[in-house]
Amino acid sequence: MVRRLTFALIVLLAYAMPALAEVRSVKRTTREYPMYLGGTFVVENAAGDVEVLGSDDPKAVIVMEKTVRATDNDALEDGVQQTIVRVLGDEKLREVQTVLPAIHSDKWTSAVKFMIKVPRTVHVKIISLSATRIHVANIRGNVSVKSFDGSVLLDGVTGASIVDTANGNVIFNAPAVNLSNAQLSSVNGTVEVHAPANASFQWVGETIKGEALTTFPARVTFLGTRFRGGVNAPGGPTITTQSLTGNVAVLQNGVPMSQVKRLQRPDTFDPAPFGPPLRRVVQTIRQQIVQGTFEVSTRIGNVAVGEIRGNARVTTGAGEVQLGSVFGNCHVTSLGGPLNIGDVLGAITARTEAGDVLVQAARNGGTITTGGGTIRLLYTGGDTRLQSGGGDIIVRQAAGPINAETQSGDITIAVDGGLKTEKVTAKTAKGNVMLNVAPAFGADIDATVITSDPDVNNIVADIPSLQVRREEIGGKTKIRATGKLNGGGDRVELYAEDGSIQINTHAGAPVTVITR
Amino acid sequence: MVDCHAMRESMPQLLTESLDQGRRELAHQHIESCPACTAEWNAYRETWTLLGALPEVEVPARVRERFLAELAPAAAVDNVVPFRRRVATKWVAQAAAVALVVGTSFYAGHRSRGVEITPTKATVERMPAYSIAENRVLPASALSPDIQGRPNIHNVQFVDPDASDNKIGLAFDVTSHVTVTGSPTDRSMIRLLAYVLENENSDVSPSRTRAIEWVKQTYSDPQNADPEIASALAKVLRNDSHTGVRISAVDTLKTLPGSVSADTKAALIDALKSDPNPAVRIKAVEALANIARSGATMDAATLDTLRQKAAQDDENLYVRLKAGEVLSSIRPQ
Repeated sequence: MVRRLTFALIVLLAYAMPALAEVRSVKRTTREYPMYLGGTFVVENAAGDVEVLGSDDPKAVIVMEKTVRATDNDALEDGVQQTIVRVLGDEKLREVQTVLPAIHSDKWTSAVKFMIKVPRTVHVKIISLSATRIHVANIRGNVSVKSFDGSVLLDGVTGASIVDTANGNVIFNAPAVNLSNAQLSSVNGTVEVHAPANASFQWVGETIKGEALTTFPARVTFLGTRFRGGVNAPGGPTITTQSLTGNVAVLQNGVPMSQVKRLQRPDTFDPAPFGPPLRRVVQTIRQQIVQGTFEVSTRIGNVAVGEIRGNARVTTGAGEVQLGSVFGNCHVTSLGGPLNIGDVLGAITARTEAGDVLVQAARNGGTITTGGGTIRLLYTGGDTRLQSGGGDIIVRQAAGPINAETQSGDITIAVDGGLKTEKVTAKTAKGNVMLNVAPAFGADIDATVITSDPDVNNIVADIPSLQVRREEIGGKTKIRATGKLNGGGDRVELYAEDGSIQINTHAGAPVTVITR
Repeated sequence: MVDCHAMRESMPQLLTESLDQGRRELAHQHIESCPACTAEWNAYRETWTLLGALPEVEVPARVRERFLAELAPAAAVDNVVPFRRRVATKWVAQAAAVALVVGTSFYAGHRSRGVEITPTKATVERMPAYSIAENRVLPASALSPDIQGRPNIHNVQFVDPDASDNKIGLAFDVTSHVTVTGSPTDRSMIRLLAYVLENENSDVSPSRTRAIEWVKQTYSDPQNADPEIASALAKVLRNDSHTGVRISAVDTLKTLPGSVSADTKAALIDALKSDPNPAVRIKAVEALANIARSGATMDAATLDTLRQKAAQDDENLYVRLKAGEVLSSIRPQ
């Protein structure tokens, strides 16, 4: 027992030591300034809570509490000296600022807490970088709050309000009467509006990753991820609630949260032209092995499956897709995010609007597309089409026909060494084309380079039979090389603008020329 | 100074490749070691290139006639006397010089001790029968880290002859084919790599994308990390018109340990804001996420850009979510 108590004491002391070692200074100051009733009051605070309350007095009363914490007395003194509070402006525009040096010793930290009373009719603007809580209450003027973190609470604000926070939650307690427009947005926090039962307003909301919740009998119409609807009587001011990853909610005062309803948005993610929209919606999925067909649609989130012993059909609105082996056909569609696909025994159809695509093996070929990003295909055994809106295309071993096209980027294709001939088409609107084939490979070659710098961009090939022609077209030089390789074969069409074409016919021509 | 003077006099011949091999080699070595002559040589080359690029203009017939008409009376001036060489003086001077050399040699031979020559085994070096290009290997430590002017370098190749040693190499054509080898942390090597990376017009073999991948492999090692490489990649990200190259640059910046400079962050923010390719924007925001996770602070402008990006309706959703993710892991400055 004694041992346990000793141990607990040691642990407690270990935790308490830094706090004991810390020195702290708290200085509270109160100042009063005259304010016009229709004036503007601005608070800019780097760190610390802010509270602004409306009153009937025609003056601003500012109570500031400067707290500096430091590791020693010298650092404390330094922190106190360098944390400056300034009050600027006049009766029409009064501004209170906390000024900290851009770079300072990490031996001290400081925060200034403001408690401010202003005439209730003034406009209030608050800019905060780091705070636990920002509270504005009983203000009839316009209120604007921009913060990085901490919660923002607006209470009884009847003027128009704009709140924009990165990581904080927003709570808007709507007044019973004289409600004005409010635009409340957070990137990663939740946005809640609390209103009396008889409040009437238009509700516009959007959340990408979160949910839209309400305890009002609201009817909303979705347009994509955004919705619009009326609360109680039609018309009235508009309250906009937006969050990227958090929930948005309009809640009736006095109604328990157990009665909250989720606004059901229709499945807006349409993976056409690959078939009808998938109804099952999940956020994130991670599985090792799937027996049989794997079919999933996720609006937001990542999909990671080790092995699928059947067909795979994955659609995502935004997220990374990672599939290991797929025994059947593989059909992956993403509106944004990288695709990483392993060994596909069936046909592959992989498409992302933005992001890189890596496919280990497409045994039966297929189509691989990205709106922007690099495509890496390590092996293909069938007819394969690759398209990039901008980015390189690399095919390490092509044992089937290849059709590769990019808007801007290099195309590197290595044809399987065992093939005697194969159809290859590679086109880049800006970049180089590099084709590696075996010495015995036969082809009808048609290579074209369009360039404004023919000294740098050219067609380089160790094929003596190629006939090269040059001509000037629209201020650019067109270099075209045609001819038969090893007596001819399937058509090999290569096209590069503002780049070079290189054809290697060495035995075991390296795909990655640079090796370390 | 005398060397410089002589070298500058021989530059026209160097330019027209009419110097013999020995003098050419000497001239190149001098130019590389002397910043003033490097500048002079670059100016010569630039002028030569510009002259070559000038269009041939037909002289109008009227101008030609007037020019010839002005020349004709000059030819007829009667007070012009043809120059005659003073032969006798020349022979006397030459004879005196020969006598002086012979006399001095004779005197020196008599006054000094006899020279003992130790016999050594003679070896015959087999010279290559035919050489189409000079190829010189220079250690990076022998080069000045400051690259003078903007030399045009071509046919750039990254080489690593011996993967087991901690040395890398860069081969390129400048006035001759040069291979520079050295440690990845050698300042001259870093400057040279940065110069190649930043120069979009240098034709890199097989491609600039591969070159950047090579840089990634070399400089992702924390022992080799260098802010100048990150800065060069930041410039590539900002300026290169080739999407594939920009993707590679930003991808490399994601992994470089020394990429948390203000310049790099600014380049990533610019790419996130305005690069037309979504893949570049995705990688830029992922790179910023890595920086945020490492505990680095972000300034207000960076935070604003991330907020705008997260809220931008017409941005790709994945980019928006990544921007939100970065914001959630950020420590504001």
